Amino acid sequence: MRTPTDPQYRVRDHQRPRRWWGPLAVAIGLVSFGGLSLPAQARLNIFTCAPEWAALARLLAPEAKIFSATHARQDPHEIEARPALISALRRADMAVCTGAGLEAGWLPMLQSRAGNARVMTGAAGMLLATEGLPLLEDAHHHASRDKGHIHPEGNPHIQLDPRLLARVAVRMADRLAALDPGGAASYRSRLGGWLVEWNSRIEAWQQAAKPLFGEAVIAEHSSFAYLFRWLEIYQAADLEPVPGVPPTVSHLQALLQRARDDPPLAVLQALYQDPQPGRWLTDKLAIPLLTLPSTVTTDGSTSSLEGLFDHLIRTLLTAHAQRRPPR
Amino acid sequence: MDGVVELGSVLAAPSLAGLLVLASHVPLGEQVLRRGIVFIDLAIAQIAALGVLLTAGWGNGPFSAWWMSTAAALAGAGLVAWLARAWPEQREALIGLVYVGGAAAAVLWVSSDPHGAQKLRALLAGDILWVGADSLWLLAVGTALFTALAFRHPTALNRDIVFYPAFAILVSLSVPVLGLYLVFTALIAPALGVHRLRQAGHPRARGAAYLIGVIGLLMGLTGSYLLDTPSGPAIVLALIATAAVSSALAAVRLRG
Repeated sequence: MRTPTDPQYRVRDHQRPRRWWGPLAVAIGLVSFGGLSLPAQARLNIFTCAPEWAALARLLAPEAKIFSATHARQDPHEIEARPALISALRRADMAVCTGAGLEAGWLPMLQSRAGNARVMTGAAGMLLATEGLPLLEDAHHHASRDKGHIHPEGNPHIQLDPRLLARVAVRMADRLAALDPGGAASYRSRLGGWLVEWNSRIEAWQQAAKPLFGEAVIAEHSSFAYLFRWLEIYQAADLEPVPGVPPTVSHLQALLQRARDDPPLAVLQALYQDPQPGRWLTDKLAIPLLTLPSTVTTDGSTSSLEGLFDHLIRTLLTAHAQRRPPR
Repeated sequence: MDGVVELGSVLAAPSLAGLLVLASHVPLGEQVLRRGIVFIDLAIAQIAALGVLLTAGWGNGPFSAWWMSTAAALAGAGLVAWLARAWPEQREALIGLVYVGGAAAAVLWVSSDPHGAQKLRALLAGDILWVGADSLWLLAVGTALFTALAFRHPTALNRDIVFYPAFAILVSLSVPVLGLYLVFTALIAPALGVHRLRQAGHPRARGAAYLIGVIGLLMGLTGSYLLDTPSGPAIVLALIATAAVSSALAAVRLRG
């Protein structure tokens, strides 16, 4: 064992150490901090947990500064901590999140680190979209804590039912008007205009999607469950053995056995989900794998709410039209 | 100016956590390099992480989690020390297997857990931004005890019986807070960055190692703020870059 008397640790004679560390530290510090700039002033700062709420907020309050914590290619259940999230929530006048436990893995920590009383749960500035809505009680609800509990409150992935989106928009406009009374009239009028347009779109989508009525599909997680309920599509099975647990080989084998005689229309997966289990199953069943956004995307045709529903329904209809005749 | 104030307020707690870990890991890192046991550290940290995962459902609060991960880390340190003595020739190979075996066991353990992937990633890449007062408190106590020991008995760390338990306890305290990658980097990068200085017997080698750690930490945190990226991996890369630049500068200085 070495001791401080070893040659390696003895101080040799050499010239007095030059002090190059100090200036280096100062230079790096200046460079690091110099890049910061003032945040632009906007009327309202709105923080959203998911892109669909950002899209609604943009419709109702286009002049507000809107920040979305997640995007369509991220799993909304879990995100990695980034400093910008904390400062965005700290600045926020209003926050819109899904609730029903969807963000339970990260939002409470974010709220406590941001320390912004305006957006604490229960404050007027925190709108939970699922609050007061009838939620689907699927496997999300029944899974017990030690095997796959994620959301005991029910399925929180409500954004793919356009009728529920409209109800969230009404509450969002009310909340905006309460927080910013000066803009109340404009929030209400924008809501009114949008609702008229949205309801006629819902009619049109329902008409267009008629051929899908009663079709069976397999999907991963219950990400699309509200879309299926709205369009009366039947989700025959879930790629996940238990909500939140990635597909296992034995579960996929069992699905294959069950689906072989009467293959469903397609397998649906969200953009953020691993495509491999779906690819494996669709190869064996010779049906299409549809990788679809489960919320509005950053760019492209699905970057608006109406574009998102157009795309979802068109993709399902194409799969329906191209279906192979039964063997 | 607002931007700087905000940066400071967001990054104050993670900076404090990082500084606490650096305070003990820089001297520990010197020992690790001197002993030539770099991968033992990874293996022990991985076993501490496994302990955190295995016992996650057992008790409440950070204290019970720490207790279990420390027990696991001490057991791991004991296992590694025993393996190294029993088969000195195959030491590195065995340590590698302990690390990979621990990692594989962790993957298996969380495979049926809906939040498993997230837990694994948190233990590897760390969630330094979410650091709370409770885990900081334990880390501060551990670091204070370690620093007091190192101050009063500077040579105590040279003894196996002091080094391995101290190492296991501090690693198990810091892995749940900072993650395996950052703990390993905090241990190795500053010590390696001043390796030449120390070999030349430079009196400020220890101070320079701390400076590398502080600069890397602050640059990584600031960079992750400005570029909107996760902080743990950003600090790891900044620490490695700072150590590399320092090492190169030291080489030039010592030659000239």
